[in-house]
Amino acid sequence: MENSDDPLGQQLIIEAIIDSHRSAKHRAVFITVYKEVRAYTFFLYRIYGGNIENAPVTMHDAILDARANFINGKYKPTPSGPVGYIKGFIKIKWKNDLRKSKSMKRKKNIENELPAIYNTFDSTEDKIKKDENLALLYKGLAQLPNKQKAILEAFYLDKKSMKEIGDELGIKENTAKQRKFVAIRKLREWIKINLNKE
Amino acid sequence: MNLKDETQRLIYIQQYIHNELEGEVLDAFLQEMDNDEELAEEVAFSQNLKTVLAYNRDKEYLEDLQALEKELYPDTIKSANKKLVPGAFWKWGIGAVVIILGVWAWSLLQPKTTDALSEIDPYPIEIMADLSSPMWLEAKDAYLNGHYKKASNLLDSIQKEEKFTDHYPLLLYKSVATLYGGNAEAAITDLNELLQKAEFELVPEANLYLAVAYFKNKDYKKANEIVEQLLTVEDNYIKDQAQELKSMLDKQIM
Repeated sequence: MENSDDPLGQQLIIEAIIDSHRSAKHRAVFITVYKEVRAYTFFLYRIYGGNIENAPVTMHDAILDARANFINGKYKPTPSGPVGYIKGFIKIKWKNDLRKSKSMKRKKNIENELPAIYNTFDSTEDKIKKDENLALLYKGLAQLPNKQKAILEAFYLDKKSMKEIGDELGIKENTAKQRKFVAIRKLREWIKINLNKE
Repeated sequence: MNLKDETQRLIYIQQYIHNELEGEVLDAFLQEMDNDEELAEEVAFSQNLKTVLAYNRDKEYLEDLQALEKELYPDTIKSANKKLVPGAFWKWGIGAVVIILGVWAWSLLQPKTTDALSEIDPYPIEIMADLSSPMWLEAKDAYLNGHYKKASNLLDSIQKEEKFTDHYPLLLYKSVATLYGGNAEAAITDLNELLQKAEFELVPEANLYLAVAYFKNKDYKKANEIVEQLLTVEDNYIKDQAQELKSMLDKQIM
């Protein structure tokens, strides 16, 4: 059965990569995807070289980068599909790892330039470590109940309107707004209290 | 621009932090921020919150991936993390040397036979964009876990049910699964049939596994003919595998 909005049948795979816990089916698909990209990563390390102990880290970073682009809509469906897209990231990261370990001898046949669609996003870990406000906000976030955190994520990351969030959670729009308001107030109070302590 | 209305205000802030405001609307919003300290602070807070939420979500996701890796491949993690203490190192080291010497001495006493299937990797299975049925996912899972007989049967069913008579990658995986499932004879028939089809992009791959199948069937002459051709192809992976097979064949032919 071909879906006209999804002629290549990639939607389920993308959904499973974004949130594998959505359903048992998504989890099963994600595990299959995981095994495939893992086989590919270890294949690169075994056949063309590199420190095999770095393979899981390379693969996880690649999945994370690709997932960010699936979420923010930067990925455009291609025949090689979302898994092919993750493999593109794996190849970039594996090459960087090879460069670091100075073992470039065996990778002559791997193309040097990859398409610009593989835009990686900057790591925010350093930013959070350096910026006191961000660090406090991050700690404050851990104090929030999951329900409130989910509303903030849906609004600030997934670009959903308060109405959409309310519909998804089965609550009224005003209730969703109220929860968001309470969460923001808690975070602001948390920052205020902890900044004063310094 | 009406920023007094709470809903409108939220929408504008959301659009701004996602870089979705453009032209005159963006200019007007920036102007509002210049004149309204509270709005400017709210926007800065929202931007920080977005950064932290994204980081938090990635961190949770990464932890989930690490847990999955540990669940699916516990031995890999164990071997990567294992650190031997000095005393244990010597015990294990001496034990390992004794075992290696034992195995070496035993191997000298054995007739020289090599199993091509243990030396040549099964072709890495890809997700085919036009195949996403549950049966295909099950077949892939079986293939990736080394249950080749099951994978071969499932791929055969997909081929028949979906009438994929010219789906070459599917036929290649089916042949490889059949071969690694222990039926070299059937794999030879399938691979030869596959190679007869015109414009097949996976010809070197199919030839590699045909050579492995001939090797498995002890038809070293035919295997060698194919391997000689494969040593001239540009694909490094195929060439490496062919080289491996060649060295095994040389031992058999000598």
